[in-house]
Amino acid sequence: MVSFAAGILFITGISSEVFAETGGYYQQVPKDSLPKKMIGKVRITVKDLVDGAAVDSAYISVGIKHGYSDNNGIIEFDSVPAGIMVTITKAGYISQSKKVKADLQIRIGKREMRSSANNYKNGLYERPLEHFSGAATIISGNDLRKINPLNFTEALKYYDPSFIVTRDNLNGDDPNVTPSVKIRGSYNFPASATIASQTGTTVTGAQINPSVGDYVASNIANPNQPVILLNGVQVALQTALDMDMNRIEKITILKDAAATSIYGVRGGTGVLLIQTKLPQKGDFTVTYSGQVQVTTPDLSSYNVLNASEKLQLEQAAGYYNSNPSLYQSRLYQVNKGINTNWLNIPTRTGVGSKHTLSLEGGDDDINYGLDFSYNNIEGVMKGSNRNNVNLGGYISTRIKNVVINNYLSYQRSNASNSTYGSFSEYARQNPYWNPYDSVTGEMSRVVEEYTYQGNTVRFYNPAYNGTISTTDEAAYSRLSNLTNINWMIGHGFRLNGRFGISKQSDEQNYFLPPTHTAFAGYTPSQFFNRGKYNQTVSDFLSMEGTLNLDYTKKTGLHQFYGSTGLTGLETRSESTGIELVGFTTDKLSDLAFGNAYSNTKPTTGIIETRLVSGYGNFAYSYDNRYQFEASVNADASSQFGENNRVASHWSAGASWNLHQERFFQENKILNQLRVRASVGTTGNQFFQSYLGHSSYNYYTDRQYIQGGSGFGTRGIGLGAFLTGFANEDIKAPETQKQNVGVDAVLLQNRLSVRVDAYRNKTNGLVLPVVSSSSTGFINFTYYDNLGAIENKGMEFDLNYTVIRNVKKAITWTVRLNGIHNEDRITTTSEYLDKVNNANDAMSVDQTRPQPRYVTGQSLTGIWAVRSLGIDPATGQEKFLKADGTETFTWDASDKVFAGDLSPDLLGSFGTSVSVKNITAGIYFNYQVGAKYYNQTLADRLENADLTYNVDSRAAGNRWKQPGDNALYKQLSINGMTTSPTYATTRFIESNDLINCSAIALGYSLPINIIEKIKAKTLKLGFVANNVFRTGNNNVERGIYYPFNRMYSFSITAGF
Amino acid sequence: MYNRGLKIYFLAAALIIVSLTGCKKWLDTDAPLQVDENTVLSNEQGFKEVLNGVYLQMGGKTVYGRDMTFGLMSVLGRSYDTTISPAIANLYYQGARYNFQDPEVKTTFKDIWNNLYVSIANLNNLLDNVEIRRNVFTGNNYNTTKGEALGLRAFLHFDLLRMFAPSPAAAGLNLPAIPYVSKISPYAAPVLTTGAFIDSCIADLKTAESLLSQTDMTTSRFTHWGVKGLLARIYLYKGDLTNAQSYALSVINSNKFPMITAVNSDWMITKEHVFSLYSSFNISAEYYKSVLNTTPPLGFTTQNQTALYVTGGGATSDFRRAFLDPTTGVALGNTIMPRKCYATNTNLSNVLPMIRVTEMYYIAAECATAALDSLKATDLLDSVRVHRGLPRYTLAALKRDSLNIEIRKEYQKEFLSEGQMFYFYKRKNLPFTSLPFTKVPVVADASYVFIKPE
Repeated sequence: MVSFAAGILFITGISSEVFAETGGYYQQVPKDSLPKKMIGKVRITVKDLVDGAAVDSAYISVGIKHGYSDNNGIIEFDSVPAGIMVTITKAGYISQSKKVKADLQIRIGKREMRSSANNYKNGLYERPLEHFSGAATIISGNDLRKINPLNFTEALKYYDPSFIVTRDNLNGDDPNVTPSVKIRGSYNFPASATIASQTGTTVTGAQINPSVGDYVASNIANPNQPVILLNGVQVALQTALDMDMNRIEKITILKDAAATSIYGVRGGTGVLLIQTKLPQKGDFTVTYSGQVQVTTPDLSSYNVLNASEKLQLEQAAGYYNSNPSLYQSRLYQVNKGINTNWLNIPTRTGVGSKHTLSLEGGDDDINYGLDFSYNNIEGVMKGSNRNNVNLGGYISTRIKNVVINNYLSYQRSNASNSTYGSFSEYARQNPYWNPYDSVTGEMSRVVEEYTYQGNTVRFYNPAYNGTISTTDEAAYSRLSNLTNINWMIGHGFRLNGRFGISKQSDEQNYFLPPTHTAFAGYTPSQFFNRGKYNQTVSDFLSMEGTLNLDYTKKTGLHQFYGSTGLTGLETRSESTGIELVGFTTDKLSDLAFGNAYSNTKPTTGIIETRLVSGYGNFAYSYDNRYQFEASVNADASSQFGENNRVASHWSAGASWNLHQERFFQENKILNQLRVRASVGTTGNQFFQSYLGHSSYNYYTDRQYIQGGSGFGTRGIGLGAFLTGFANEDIKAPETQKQNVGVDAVLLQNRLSVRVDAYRNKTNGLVLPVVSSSSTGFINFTYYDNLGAIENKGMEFDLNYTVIRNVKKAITWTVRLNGIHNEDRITTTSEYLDKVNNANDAMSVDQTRPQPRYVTGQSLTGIWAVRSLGIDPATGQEKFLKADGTETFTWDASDKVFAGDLSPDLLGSFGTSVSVKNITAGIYFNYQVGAKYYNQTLADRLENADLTYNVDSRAAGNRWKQPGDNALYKQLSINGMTTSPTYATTRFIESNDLINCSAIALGYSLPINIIEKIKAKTLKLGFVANNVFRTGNNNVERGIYYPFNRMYSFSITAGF
Repeated sequence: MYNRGLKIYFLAAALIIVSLTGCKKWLDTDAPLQVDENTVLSNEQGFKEVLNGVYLQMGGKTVYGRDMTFGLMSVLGRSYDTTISPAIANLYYQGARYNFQDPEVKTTFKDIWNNLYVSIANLNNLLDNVEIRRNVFTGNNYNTTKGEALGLRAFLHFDLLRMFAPSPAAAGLNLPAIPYVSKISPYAAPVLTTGAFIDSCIADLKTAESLLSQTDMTTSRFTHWGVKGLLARIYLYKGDLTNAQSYALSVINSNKFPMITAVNSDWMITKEHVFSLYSSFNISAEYYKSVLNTTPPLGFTTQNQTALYVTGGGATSDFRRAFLDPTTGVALGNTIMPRKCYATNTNLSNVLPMIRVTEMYYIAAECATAALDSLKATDLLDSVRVHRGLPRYTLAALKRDSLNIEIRKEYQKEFLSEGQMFYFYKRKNLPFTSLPFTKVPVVADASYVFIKPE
C-alpha cells in the first residue's frame, strides 16, 4: 500500500516488545552469578530514529538503575555491570534494548501507526505538506463518497476543478463507457489525429481490441488522461472505476513539475494516486455497507412530435402528395389513438444494488483484512448493466523493523449493453407506429408495411432486436497481487520495496441473430449470410517493481530529506478477434453455429512495453520557513528509439512559509500564508510502440521459385518485405511545467484559499511524417517528434467555514472553486494539415463541425462557416466567405474558428451542513464561456428526413415565402437531399450551465440505539445525482444513450 | 572496515553495471507480430529472403506480373490488336487509346509507381544493412548481395524513368524527371534530370558490375550479365551508342547465352534470358487468365499474325509465329491468344523475360546501323534470324532505312507481349499515327509519359 511505501510506518506494540526483551535479560543473567566487570561511567544518548533529534524524558532502565533523559537526550549512570541490557521506553516510541557500553547512542523510532494526514505522499516518498513546494490536491475517500457513491471521477471534479471529466453527449451515462478525464489542460493531439492508417495494413504499434485493463492502449486512445496509480501500481481508469469505491482511502492529484517529474514519462499529463484503506487494527470488526441506487432517464431535452403533429407536418411538407392513401392509413392509426412514446420503449428505471462486506482486525504483529463487494449498476437503457465483484485479502506482518504486507485481489466485471440498440433509433420512430402487435401484444418486427408503385416498403421495429437473442457483452476477470516490504534501517534511512503483478482476461461477445433488423434488407441470395457473431478475447499482464531508499535528517533548524528509487515496469497485451456470419436461426446463438468467417484471418495484436525509471529527490527546509527541493529522473523505455533510449527530467521547487517568520504576528485576519513555485520537465509515452524498430514480414502465399518445382524447393524462395522503418531517434514528448501558488488561511482559520497559476508546454509530440510516394513508405508510416501544445491557466479553491460550533456540534461550510485553462497548439505538422484537409472533404460528414488543428488555436474549437442567417428573399442560407464576400454556397474552406467547446471558467460550488449526527449538502458544477454546436437543429430539424420523427421545433420558424424572416430553412420532406445544412455558425450556441451534481443527506444513529443492536457504528445515507440543471437545454442530450438521474440510499454498519 | 565498505561499493557498482547492460537488452522489445530487422538480417539467408521479397513484389499484378509485361504495357506496345470493349476491360481499352487521364489507367500508374518505389525502399534498407552487418557474410556473398541489390535498384529506377519521364528523344536529358532514391528515408529524394538520373543508374550498375561474378549464371536473379545487358539498354536509351554497343557485344560475345532454334514448349525461350523474373507461381496462372480469359481475350487476328511474321522479310517458317496459338479464339471469331503467356508447360510458364540476349543483338545492330556499319548490323540481325527458322537476308548488308525497319520488326516479332515495345516506341518517340495494329484511335493529347501520382 502506498502508505507503507512512503510512510514512516513502524507498526509495533510497546507491551510485547518490552516483555520480550527485558525478559531475555533476566534469563541471561541468573541471580546467583554476579557480573564480573563493571563499567565506571555510562553515558546514554537517545535520539530519534528518523531525524536524529535528541529525545528528552525517555525512560531508561539499566538493571536496577533507571531515570529519564534530559533535554539533550542524555542520561548518565555510574557503575553499571558490563553485558547487561539498556532498555529505553517513551510514550509514542517503540522501546529499544541494547547491550550497555560506556558511550551508547540509541535511536528510537516513533510508534506512528499511519503517517500524518498532513503529509504529502506521491507514491514514492513522503514529505510534510509544509515542506512541499509543488501543486497537488489530496481528497479523502469519505469526502468523495459524500458526493457520488459510484463514480469517484464525478466526485473528484467537485473538489478539484483541475480534474476535468467529460462525458460525451453521444454516450450519455452509459455505465459501460469510461468518461474521459484530464488534469488542467491538453497535452496531446487526439489519437484520431496522430495515428496514420494505411488501407489493408493494420496498425501494429497500438492494440486494436485491447483489454479494458490495458492502460498502455487506453493512454494511446486518450492521450490527455493522467497516469493512474492504484496503491503505487499503474492501472487503467476502468480498473479504478470498477473497484469498490468504499475502499478508497484518499486520492491525490499530482499536477506540477515538483510533483510529477520523479515519474518522468509517466508524469507529463499529471498523476492520479488512489490509495485504498488499510484494515484497522484492534478487535475483529465486520463492516457491512449496503446501497440501492435508482437511476431514471433524463429525457427532458427530447422534444419530439406526437402522432397527430407529425402527420400534420408530413402533410404540410407534401410528403403524401404522391401517395395519399398512405396518409389515409396513417390518419386511421392516429384516429385510432396510436401515439407511441418511443422514448420510453428502450428506457427504464434502473434499480441497482451494492453490497460491501469487510472484515478486519489484528495487532501490531499481524494485521489482516478481507473485503468483498458486489456492485450491480443498472443503466437506464433496458438490459444495460455493469456487474462488478471485488474480493481482496490483506495481511501484514512485522519482523523487528521490517514490515511486510501483501494484498491479493480478484476483480470481475460483467458488462452488458442494451440489446435494444442505439437510443437515437427510438427518438426517430414515428409516434403513429405501434411497436406491439395489435393481436398478440408482442413486440412486432415490422411497424408499417405498404406498397408504393409496386414496391413494398417496410419499416422495422428496433425494439424487436431487444426481444430476440441479441448479445452485446463484455466481461473480464482480473487477479492482482501487491507485495510491500518496508525496512527501517535506522540513522534516518528507510528502504521500501514493492512488487505488483496483475493479469486480466477479457472476453467480448457481440451477436446479431439472423432476424435482427440489421439484416432486414438482405436479399434471398444473402439469406445464409444473415447473423453476425463477433468475439474478441484479450489479455493484459502488467508487472511492476519498485525499490525506494529514503533519508531524513534533522539538525537544529535544518531539515533534510533525500529519496531515490528505481522502478521497472513490463506490460504485455494480447488480443484476438474473430467474426462469423451466416446463422440460421436465433436459437443457435453461439459462435459454433456460424457458417463462415467474415474475414479470412482473425484480428490479432500483441504489444509489449517495458520501462525502467529511476529518480532522486532532495529537499531541504530551514526552520520550516524556507524550503527548496530538486528532483532528477531518468527513464528508459522500449518505446524510445535506440539513439534516445534514456529520457531525463528534472524539477526544482521552492516555498516560503511566511507565517513561520518571526515578523509574522498572530492576527485575526491572516493565519497562514505560504507561497510556492516550481519548474521542471516531465514527459509522456502515450504513443505507439515499435516506432523505433524496423520490421519485416514474410509473404505467406508465394515463394520465389520456378513453377512446377519439386519438394526440394520448399522454403528456399521465402520472401520478406519491410513493414516498418525505425526512427531510431524517436523519444518521449517532453512537457515543461511551471507553477506558482499561494496557500492562505484567513479569518481565524475559517477561510482557506488556494490559488495556482501554471503553464505547461509539451514539445516533440509524436506525429506521422507525410512521406511522398517515391519514398516507398506506402504501407507503413514513419513517426517523428513534431507537434507542440501549450496549456496555461489558473485555478482557485475557496473553502469557508461559516459556522464552527464545537459545543453544539454544528458545522456549516461553503466551497467555491474554478479553473480557467487555455489550450493552444504551438506547432502543427504537415500531417495535421493533411488531416485538416481530409476533414474538409465532402466525403466527411459536414453536417457536424469537424476538428481542425491550427497553430495558435485551441484543440477543441468549433469550426464552421460564418452564417448571415436565412435570406428572406430566397430562403437559402447566406454565408460569409473567408475573404468577406457573401455567398449562398457553403464551402468547407470558408470555415472559421467560431467558438470553443472548452469553457473559460469551469468549477464547482456547494455547501454542506452538519448538525450533530446529521449532515446535508448540495453541490453544483458550473461552466461559463463554453460553446456547442446545436446538432439537434441540424440533424433533427433542417436536415431531417420526414420519413422518421423529428424535433418538435421542425414545424415552426421555417421560411415559407419571400420576405419571411425565418430562423430555419424551408420545410422539406428530406432536408439532407433538398438543401443540406453544413457546419454553420447559425447553430453555435452558448453552453453556460449549472448542474446540481449532488444532493446528499447522512445520518449516524445515536450511540444508545447502536448499542442496542450491538453494533459499533450505523450510518444511513442518501445521495441524489444530477438532479437538475440550468442552462441551454435546446439540444438533445445523450444521443446513443440517455443521461440519467441517480438516487442512492445506503446503510453502513460496523459490528 | 574500510576494506569491507569498499567491497560493498564495488559489489553495488558491479550490480548496477550488470543490471544496466541487461536493462538495455530488456528494453529492446521486438514487435511480436512482425519479424524484427535484427532477426531477419542476422544471417545471409535473411538478406536473400529480402531480395526474394523484392522479386516477389516485382511479380505483382500491376507490375511485372501482369501489367508491365503482357498486360497494359503490351496493349500500349501494340502486341494485341483486339477490339477491346470498355465495358469488359476498361483499363485495356483506355490503354489502347493512350487515354492516360482515365481514372483506372491513372490508378494502375499509381500502383506501378508505388510498388516499384516500395521495392526500391526495400532494396535501400537492405543496402544499408549490407554495410552495417558486413560481418554476417561469408565468402563472396557480401559482394554478391550488394551487387544484386544495386543492380536491381538501377533496373527498377530505369523502368520508372522509361515510364514516368519523357524520353531523351522527345525532351533531351536536361529536364527534371523523377527522384532517384539511393537511401531509405521517409523524406523524398530530389528529382533528377533525365541525364543525371541515367548517370545514377549507370553508376549503380558499374558498382554492381565490379561486385558481381561473371561465372554466376543464375538468370532468375540479377547477376553480372543482367548488369551488362541493362547497361547496354540504358546507354542506348541515353544515346551513348558506343557504350551501348560495347556492352551488348560483351553479352553476346561471352557466348554464355546461345540462341535456340526450336521452342520445344519453352515459349518464353528461357534459355536466352539474361535476366528473368519468376512470376509468383501460385498466382501467375490467375494473372494470365485475367488478361487472356476475358471475352474477347487480348490477342491478335490471324491476318495481323501473317502481316507481322510472314509479310515482308518474314516467312511462315518463323517459329515465333507460333507465339500466337492458332487453336485459340478463331472458331469463335475472336483473336488468337499469345501462347507465350499461356503456356501449358508449368515448369516454364511463370518465367517472365526481363532481358533477353536477342535484345543485345538488336541493340548492337542498331548501334552498328547508326555507325553506318550495315554489314555488321545485317549480320547481327541474321544471327537471330537463323535461330528463328528464317533465312538470312538476301543482302549481306541491308540499306540503312531497311535496317531500321527490320530492327523494329524484329523487336515486334521477338518481344510479342513481353512489354518491351512500348519502350521501343517511346525511345524512338514514334508519332502515335505510326503505331501499328491500332484498332481504336489514340486520343488527341496522347503522350508516352505516364502520369505520376499526386
